[in-house]
Amino acid sequence: MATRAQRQQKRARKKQKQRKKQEKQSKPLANRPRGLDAFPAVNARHRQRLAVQKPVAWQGELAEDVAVFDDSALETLPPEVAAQVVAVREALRHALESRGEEARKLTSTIVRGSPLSPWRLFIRGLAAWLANDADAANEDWRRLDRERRPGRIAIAMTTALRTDLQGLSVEAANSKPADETTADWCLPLDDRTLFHGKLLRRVRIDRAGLRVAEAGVRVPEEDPELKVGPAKIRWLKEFAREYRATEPDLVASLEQTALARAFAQNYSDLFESAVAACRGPRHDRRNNLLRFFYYARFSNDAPALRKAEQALDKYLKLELPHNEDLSQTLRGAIASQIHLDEALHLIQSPDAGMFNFFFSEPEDPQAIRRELKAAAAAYPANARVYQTHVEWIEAKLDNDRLTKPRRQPLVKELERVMLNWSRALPDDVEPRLWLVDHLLEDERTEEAKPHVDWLAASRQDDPRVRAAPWKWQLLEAMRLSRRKASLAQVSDHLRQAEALWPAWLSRQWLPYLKAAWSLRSGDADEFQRRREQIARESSLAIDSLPEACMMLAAAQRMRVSAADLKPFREPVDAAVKNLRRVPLDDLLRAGAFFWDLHRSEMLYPAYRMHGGKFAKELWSRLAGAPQVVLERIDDPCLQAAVLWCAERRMLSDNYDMKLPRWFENARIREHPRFTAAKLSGFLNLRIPWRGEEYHNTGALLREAARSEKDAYYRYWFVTLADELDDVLARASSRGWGGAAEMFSSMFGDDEEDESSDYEFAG
Amino acid sequence: MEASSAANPFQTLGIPEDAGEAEIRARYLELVKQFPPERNPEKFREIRAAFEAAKDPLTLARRFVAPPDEASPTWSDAIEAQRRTPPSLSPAFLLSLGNRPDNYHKQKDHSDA
Repeated sequence: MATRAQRQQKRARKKQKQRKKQEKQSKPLANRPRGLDAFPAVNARHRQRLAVQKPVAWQGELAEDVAVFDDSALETLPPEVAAQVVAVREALRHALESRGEEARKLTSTIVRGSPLSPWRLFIRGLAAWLANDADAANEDWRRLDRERRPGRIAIAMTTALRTDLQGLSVEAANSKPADETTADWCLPLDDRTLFHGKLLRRVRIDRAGLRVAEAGVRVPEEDPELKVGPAKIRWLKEFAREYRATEPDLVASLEQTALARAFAQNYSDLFESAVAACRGPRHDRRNNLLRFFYYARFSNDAPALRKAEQALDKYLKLELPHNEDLSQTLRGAIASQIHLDEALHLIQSPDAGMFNFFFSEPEDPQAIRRELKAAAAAYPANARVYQTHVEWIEAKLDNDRLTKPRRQPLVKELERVMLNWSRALPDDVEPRLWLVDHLLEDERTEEAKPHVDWLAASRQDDPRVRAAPWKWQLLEAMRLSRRKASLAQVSDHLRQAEALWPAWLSRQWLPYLKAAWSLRSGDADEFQRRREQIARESSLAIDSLPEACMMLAAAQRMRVSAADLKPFREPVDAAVKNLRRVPLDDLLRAGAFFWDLHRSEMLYPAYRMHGGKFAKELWSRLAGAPQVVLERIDDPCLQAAVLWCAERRMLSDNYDMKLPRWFENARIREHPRFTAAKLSGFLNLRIPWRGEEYHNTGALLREAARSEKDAYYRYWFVTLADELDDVLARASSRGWGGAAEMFSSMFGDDEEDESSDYEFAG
Repeated sequence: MEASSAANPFQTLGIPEDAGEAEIRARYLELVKQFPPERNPEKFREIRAAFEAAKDPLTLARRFVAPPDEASPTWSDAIEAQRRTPPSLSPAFLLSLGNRPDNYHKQKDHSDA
């Protein structure tokens, strides 16, 4: 039995304990010690209360209302009523995720006499309440039956908006005159609706977690240089444990901020602490992808790179395939994009970054193929995978010194990629256009036919697609010219090609093709007659450069025998030997012809031997003759020749643009075709850097496309502008602007020294 | 040809970059209401293009696998953004707000009597 003194002591101890507790709660949060003690104990109770807060049916509650949250009750309802209940459930979900309109639509089928019609009214009010329109919510909710669940929820939600809820008893709540935030239709409240109103206010309006977070993040780091220090990470870990259940978005946001700040500072121990303490975003919950990015930055640090590899491996093999927060499609797309980025990194293309391009080891084709294959397998509809693969092979094929045995497997690989591309993305034009050319060239007419038919039937704006039937006829004529037995069928195909000849392509080559067919058929007289007629009608001298090129191209494509071909080669070879003597007009007309062959992809085999030489000669003359260019600015022949030069990469040295000064002239600068040439030259660069300088060219071309009469240019201008957008977007996302600037300044002087041939704008 | 990716479709739609399909669609419908095609054809085209891009899994995937920005976000921005967005309610929590006291039927019997 305790004495009186003992009882007094006990009371005093109890009082002291209470006082300490009160003091602790009233202390400013920022001054409190960090750790679990920093959070009000009352939050734990709140959390526990929320954990048990579940809908429970009361005795005699309407089965339709119970079925909204209870599956066993749903099963007892007739199908038509059950369907309405399912609609209500779905509508509630939409409304709570701020899709009020869709929620309303879902419940619109519930008729007025249905036992579920109060839910329709409730959901309408709920959408308004969530959009902070309490008046509109009141309008709907005041008509609800307060004895049913929707009515009771509405009362609790309306009560939650009262500003006088702190410590309010039921009696006081019902007797006090309603303030402006109190809706009188809610009264009288019972103790449960009042409790629910208080609970909801605490969760959604008062938000104690927000205040705690505000005070917590305001605490300075241990070192002013730190973006996030060890104490803040510890605090955040505890905060997340306390508030994740009640404030999941707030916790996630603070965790993302901590991770981003830890990523931005080069302290791997702190980064690892943050990664271990914070939950990652839904696509990277364990932060393995983030770890990959963090360690991949240290390109000269082998252990760091190993860590990066391990993290990526873990992400791709263990984490991503089992991430149920993401749809399977999205998981595939993420894996595909990661493999593609890895391939790009290995390819050392512009996308792989400037430093790699200059300083990294030789590329590993096997690894590149492995990554590209994995990228296509993970998400077959990723067009960029095929584009990258095609560009990579084409860059290899673009080597004039490549021998046939080395070229053939690459062409085979290209064909496989194009086939896979056309199967995975049947609406993409690029692979089909390529396959038509390639398969017909290979005499695989049956395989080419479906692609031609698809292109002919498609409603694409691309003029090359519309020209597919024309090209098919022309290529068929060329293919049939191979064998004497099928020569009789050639004229019919040439006639068809003539009828289908695209308006955007010059017809000047057609008579040469007909003449070449005469020669191939063994009718030398007819050939001679036709050639003379062409010369008369075209004002081109026989064996002048453009005439000789057109003749050689036609003869070679119509499979004229090597012996008959020889005389056509001679004038072209002679021109190559005496380039300086070729008149500018001839070079221009030849250039315009080559431009047509380029854009219709009808180049002839011998072109590879002399095309580049003519382009170089023509460009050196034009670059040094601003007067000629300005005088003939509207001459389509000059424009086409300039566009051909751009296609031949004459406007750059593969690494940087080298434009003649006349490109600075206002008339040239604003001329759509010259602008297109400039942009095409830029996009043909191996490294399209300083893209921001070309920003306005895209807008100019889009504008010009609107009034352009030529179907090819109308489409091509927009295509160029889109490509520029893609390049700029990729550049900004990979952040090679800074590196580009640095390299530009490093090598800037050298460029000026080398540009001594003629004056360049740089 | 891929759609132009110069503009961030999520920015155009005004939604977070990790927005789910339903959120993207809801925001799109909301914006279409604001900018109907007959009154704002240009704006509508922009919104439509952004919607198409944002719902493409590859657009999301590209955002997800892009390395984080080197510029670190501020704590206050994170708090401010959260202040504007109250925590979402779960359907179970919402429906529980209509519960009656455990002894409801006893109370009712008593008052009926």
